[in-house]
Amino acid sequence: MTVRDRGALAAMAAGAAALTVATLVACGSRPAEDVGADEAAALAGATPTRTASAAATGDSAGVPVNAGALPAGGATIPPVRLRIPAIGVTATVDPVGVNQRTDEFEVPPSVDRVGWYRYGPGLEADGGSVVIAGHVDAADQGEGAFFRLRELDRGDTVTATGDDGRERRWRVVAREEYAKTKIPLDRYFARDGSPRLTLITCGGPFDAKTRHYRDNIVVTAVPA
Amino acid sequence: MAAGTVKADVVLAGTDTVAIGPADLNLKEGTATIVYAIGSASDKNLKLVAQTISGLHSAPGGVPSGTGGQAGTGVDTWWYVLAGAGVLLLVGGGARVATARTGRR
Repeated sequence: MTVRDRGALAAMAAGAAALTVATLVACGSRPAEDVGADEAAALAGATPTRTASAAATGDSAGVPVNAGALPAGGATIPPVRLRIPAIGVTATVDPVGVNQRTDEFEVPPSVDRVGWYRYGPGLEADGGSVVIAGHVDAADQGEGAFFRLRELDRGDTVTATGDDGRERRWRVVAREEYAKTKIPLDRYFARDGSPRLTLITCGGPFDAKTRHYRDNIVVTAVPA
Repeated sequence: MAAGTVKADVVLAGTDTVAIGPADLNLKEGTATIVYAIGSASDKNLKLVAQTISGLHSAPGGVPSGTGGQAGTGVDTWWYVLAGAGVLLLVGGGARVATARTGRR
């Protein structure tokens, strides 16, 4: 065997090693696939209650008649505590709204706290999507409460405690990942459809220049 | 108007006389509430009738919830460079071996 031969063989070995390592890394860092996307979509498209009640009363005109009472102080029950044993989360829930400047969801600045969308349904609702969002991480604070949200799987339990002290249990039915430009937020912030809990955080590839993640991770749960 | 509870009363036109209220109106986000005063002030049977239009809400523009990058799942460009270098080395080395073998014959 000549020296030239040996060099060529060494080059081939190095090439094969480099290719193997790169492939392993690429496969290893691939995120888990979406589960239960169809089920989550079906929850949003549940039959509207108005047509159902109109049909039941035999109202042929089909014009809804509502009492002219003043809008009452609806008893909203805000969640105050969120527990997800499967990923070791116990977090305080703050009621939050929309940032006036950016028009975006106002996720609590502390990564240990998560935010409940106070304009949407609370825990008392018998329909619609209760939305809770939290940080996956922050540059200055490290890992957030929802760091492992993407590890949740179908059947995992989520427990939300209301400010009335009652615990409500939810069962995870879907985990989805959407590019932030394509996520159907109307569906996740809907106030109608089946009762469901929607947990949102960031995920996917991170752009170090803009300091933003490309995607949102969305977990949907139904009352257990 | 921001969502929340609003105190509203009805004043007779041209006077400061409060005819009704003040009443608390809980205005929910995404609804339009129209309140009518019905009746006669002189007969003292004025009352309120409210009409609420729901479904005017919209969703937030986005959910920004991460700035750290610790949970990034993308593959760094350098791994693609490494894979490319690997392929080049394999092909180059293979060609060398092949030409060396045919050259010896």
